Order: sequence, then structure tokens, then C-alpha cells
Amino acid sequence: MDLLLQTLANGIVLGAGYAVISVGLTLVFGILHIANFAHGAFFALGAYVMFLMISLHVPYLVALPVAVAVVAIVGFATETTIVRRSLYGEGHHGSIIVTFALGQAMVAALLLIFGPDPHPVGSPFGQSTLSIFGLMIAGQRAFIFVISVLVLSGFGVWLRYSTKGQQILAVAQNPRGALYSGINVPMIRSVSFVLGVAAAGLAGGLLAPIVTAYPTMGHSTLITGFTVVILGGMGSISGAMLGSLLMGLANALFETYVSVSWTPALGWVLVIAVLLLWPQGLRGRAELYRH
Amino acid sequence: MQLHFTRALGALMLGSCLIAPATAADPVKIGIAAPLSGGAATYGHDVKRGAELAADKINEKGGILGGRKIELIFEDDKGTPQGGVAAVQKLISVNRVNAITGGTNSSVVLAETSITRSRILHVNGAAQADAITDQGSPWLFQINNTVSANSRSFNAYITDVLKPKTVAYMGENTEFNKTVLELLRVSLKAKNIEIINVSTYDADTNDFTSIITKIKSLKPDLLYVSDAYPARAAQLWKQVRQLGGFPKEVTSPGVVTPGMMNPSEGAMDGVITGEIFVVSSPGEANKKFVDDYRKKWNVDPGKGNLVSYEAVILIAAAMDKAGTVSDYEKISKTIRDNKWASPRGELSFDAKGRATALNFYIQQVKGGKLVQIDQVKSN
Repeated sequence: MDLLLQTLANGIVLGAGYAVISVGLTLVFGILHIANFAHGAFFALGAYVMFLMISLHVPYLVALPVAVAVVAIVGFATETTIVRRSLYGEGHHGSIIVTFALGQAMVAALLLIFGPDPHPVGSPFGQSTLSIFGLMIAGQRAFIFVISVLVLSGFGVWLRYSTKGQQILAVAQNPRGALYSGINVPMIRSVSFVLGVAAAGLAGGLLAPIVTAYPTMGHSTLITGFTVVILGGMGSISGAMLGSLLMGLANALFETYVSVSWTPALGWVLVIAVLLLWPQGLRGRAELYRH
Repeated sequence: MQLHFTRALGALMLGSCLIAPATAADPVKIGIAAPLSGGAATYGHDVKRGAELAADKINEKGGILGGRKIELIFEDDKGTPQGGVAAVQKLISVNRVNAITGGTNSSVVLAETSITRSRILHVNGAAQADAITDQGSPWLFQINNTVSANSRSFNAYITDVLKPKTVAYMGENTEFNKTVLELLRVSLKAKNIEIINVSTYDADTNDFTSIITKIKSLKPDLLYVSDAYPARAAQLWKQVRQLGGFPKEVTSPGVVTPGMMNPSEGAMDGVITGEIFVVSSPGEANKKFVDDYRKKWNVDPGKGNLVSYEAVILIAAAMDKAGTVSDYEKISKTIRDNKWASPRGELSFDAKGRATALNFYIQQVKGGKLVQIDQVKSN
């Protein structure tokens, strides 16, 4: 019984990590219709900013918002110089190539500046353990869980109740209609892209103490992000959160009770099953491609 | 066609100009293919430091073969088999080196031997897989203990001194770790010690929480970890520590380096491992090596530095004694027929080209450093 509870706890905190990664991915897809293959590179960038800050003896909790801000600025720069000029309204194929190239260029830049070796990133929660009713949760994992719940619920509320949030939802549903209603569509697109990649930067800063910072760290993360997003339904934020939770629990249960070696395959099996049974993903919307 | 012919002729002429007879003053080139970048880069830098010290020592004494200096040429194998093959090919055909050494990862060195076999003298410093020297290549030698030699000594310590009732194993899914696991199974079975869990994971894995949780629920006496990738092993031990640790913890012999202990930030304290070298090993030769190394690099040497140092010294000494840098048949016979001085005592090489360490040291991580706690004779 203890083992089951501990496994479920592991799965939930693992899922919280997936959620921060995938929510930005699904946001950019839902609003801009861009499958952002550079997401992993922004994730790595966040981790490297953390690494730099920590090396300069900036406290972890101060460094985290700085990392998010730096990634947001880089995100804004790429949005205005590359993404806006080449991708909006161009369909998915162009977006895959352009964002993939952008991601590769960023990883190569990190490789040139920092070299290929993994750098440990310290965190005040790195060595501590939380014990709740006999369940052990690693400090950094607990911190990720708390932050992701706060950020995601805050973001959900903002999206639904603020004017800007509603404008984002309107652009996602129908950009032309939104434009005719007087919404500044290019600005909303910028905001959405920056929010999406900033979320990747946050994920990088949160996960760096667990996985260490190295240039290609975003690759496997990007794959996990996409499996979660496909599972939840491309473009659906609640779907990404549900998908993360499911994937986290499934991985933890599978590793504990079935086989560690086969766990990497599990995500894909789940994706195939979901696509066969619910082709739009668990919470995807069929009207996504209406316009 | 005409153009191609002219070009080919030109290349031929250029080539023949390059092949000039070696004179007494020409340096003897030793090619070093090592992981200078990538996940195993800390091992590559160990190799570089050990080899440079050896070259300094030889050249201080006036070189070999009546005044020829040793020149080291480094090439990055990137820690991958493809990188290793490319590095060795470049060293042989572009740099025209007289011998190859360096490699640290077994899969990389194994790939390299397909190029060096029957072509050049290859002294494998650090890589441990038995498969490398099992091929029976006549010009291939190995300085470090093989996995099986290391495991025999280390497993004997586990079964006879630590005496756990139950053992759980976790390790990366590679050839090296599979061999470690197989040898562990055999040793434990012989002493009726039960192995209650085996968890192998992928190279991409960075979250071990579920594996450790599961193993903890089985309450083993001893956890055996086999992972030779420093950054990941550090993360693994951090997570072990966060989830409360185990009564006895050991890690596969021959893989613990400062590059693994430092990023673990103290999480490896208490972990027991085995090694063929400790700084405090007895003997004048060892003391001199440690002093020389400290003088040059301002840090203590490790096993990685030592085997690389020994490899370069062996190549130079054998060429000197054989009186040739290119008659590999003669050099190899000289290596097999003689005993070679090293900081660890006199090394000799068996028919497969393997040296076996004279002593095997049991070490424990204390305060982020390896401390010797026991010593067993190698068998």
C-alpha cells in the first residue's frame, strides 16, 4: 500500500514537471498554429541562464524569474525578427522547418559558448526531502509541483477572466473574426509566443537542478512535451495538464510495477491508443482547423 | 580525364615528397584519441594530463632511441564509436603517428581496434571491457584491469566482508554494465546471496525516483549501482540520498572520479567502490609519480591519469628497448617478454595483452573524496 501511494505521489510530481514543459508548447500551437520545435532550445536556454546566475552567486529564487525574463526577451526578439515574418498564416509545414532550424541554431550557440559538458545547477531544495504521511518527495520536485500548480492555475484564471486573456482565446478561435472585432491580432500573437517560450524557460530553470544543464537537454524534453500535448489534444491547455498528469502517473506506475527498460516506449503506446480512440486527443477540439 | 590524371599525378608527387626517411632528430609521434568533449569529457582531460606528464618525463631524460623526443598528438573521439574511428583514422593517415593510445570508453575503443588492428601499435589505457582484448589482436595491449578482473576482486569484498543478505542492482543498459551485472550474479549466487531486484535504464533517464522507490520498498541490505557516466551518476546518488538511502551502497569499481563526486554535492558520501590505484599506494615509484603529478598540475592524480601516464611510458620504453618505432611485431614481442616499471610496481602482459594490477584497493567516498578502507590482492 505504501509503495502504491509513494508511486502515485512520484507520478503526480513527475507530471507537474511535464505540465510546465507542455503548457507553453500547446499555447503556441493553439493560438499561432505553430508546432514549435524550438521549444526544447528555449528550455535549455532557461537552464543555462539559471546556471550562469547561480555561478554568479545569485540566490535560486531570484535567478528563476531572471531566467524566465531572459528567455522571454530572446523569445520576443525571435518572434519579431523571424517567426512573425515567416510563419503567421503559412500553415504547419513551414513552421516545423523554421522552428526546427531556429532550435538547432540556438543549441549550436549554447554549444559554442558553454561547451558540451553538463553543468550542475545548485538549488536550495536540491538536497532536502519532504516527508508527508510517510511519503518521501524530493525537495526540488515538491518545489516544481508547487510552482507549476500556482503558475498554471494563475495562467488559467488570467486567460479566462482578463481582457487580454479573452482576446488570446478569441484569436485562437478565429483570428479574422477577432481582427474585425478590433482586437490587435499581431500584438496578441506576439504575447502568446512570448508567454509560450517563457513557460519553456521556466521549465528549464525548474528542472535544471534535477537534470543538469547541457546544450541538447531540450531534445528528450521536447519529445516528452509533444507526446503529452498529443495525448491531451493539440492546442488545449487543460488537455496538456491532464495529459501531463496521466503521463506522469503512467510512467511512475509502469516503472514500479512493470519494467524500467520499457518505460520510454509507454508514452508512444499511450499516444497511439489515444489517437485511435479519440483522434483529437483527450481534450482537443475538432473545430481547431475550422478557419 | 586528362585533368584527373594530372591531379592524381600531382598528388602522387606531393605524397612522395612527404615520405622522407626519419632522421635521428625526428620526434616519435604518439596519437591520443580521447573524449575531449561530450559526456565523458572529464575522462578525456584525465588522459591528457597523465600523457603530458609522461611525455615531459621522457623528454627531460633526452627522449628515446638516442635523442628522439616524444610528441603527443591529441584528437577528440567525442566519446562515441564513430568519433573514435574518425579520430584514429586521422591520427594514422594524416598525422602519421607511430602508436595509438588514449580511449576511455569501452564501446569507443572497441570500434577503434577495428582500424588499428594489424596496422599500428595500440595501447588501451583506461577502457575496461574484456571484449577489447578478447579479440586476440597481436599489437593491442591493455593497461587497466578488465571488467572481469576488477569485478572478481570487488565482488569478493562484497560477499566476504560486507556480507549483505539481499542485494538490489540498478545500472545503465550498456555492454559494460551488463558484464558487471553478470559477474555480480555469479559471485552472489556462489555465496547464496539473493539479488532481489534488477533495474536497468536508458541513457536518457534522469529521473530515478520510481526505480529507487521500488527498490526501497524491497528493503535490500545493499544497493549496487553500475553507471560510468559521471553527470548522470551524480544525479542518481542525489536522488538516492533524497529518498533516504540504503544500509550499504556500492558502485561498480573503476568509475568514480572527482567529475562524479563533485556534482553529487556530498550525496555520494558513504558509497564504497574499488580501484587499482590510490594516491597513498605504497612504494617509492608511486610517491615519485604522485609528487611529479602534483607539481605539474597542482592536484592529486587519479586512476585515469595513471593509466594514461603508464601507457605513454610503456610505448616509449618498449620502442626504445626494441630499437624501432615501426616494427610492431618486434615492439609487441618486447612488451610481452619483459616486465615494465610503473608507479604500481612491475607490470607484465599476458598472451591477450592484458596487464593485471598487483593490488586492488577498496575505497569509500568520505567528504567528497575517495578514502582507502581496505586492500585485497588481485587474483
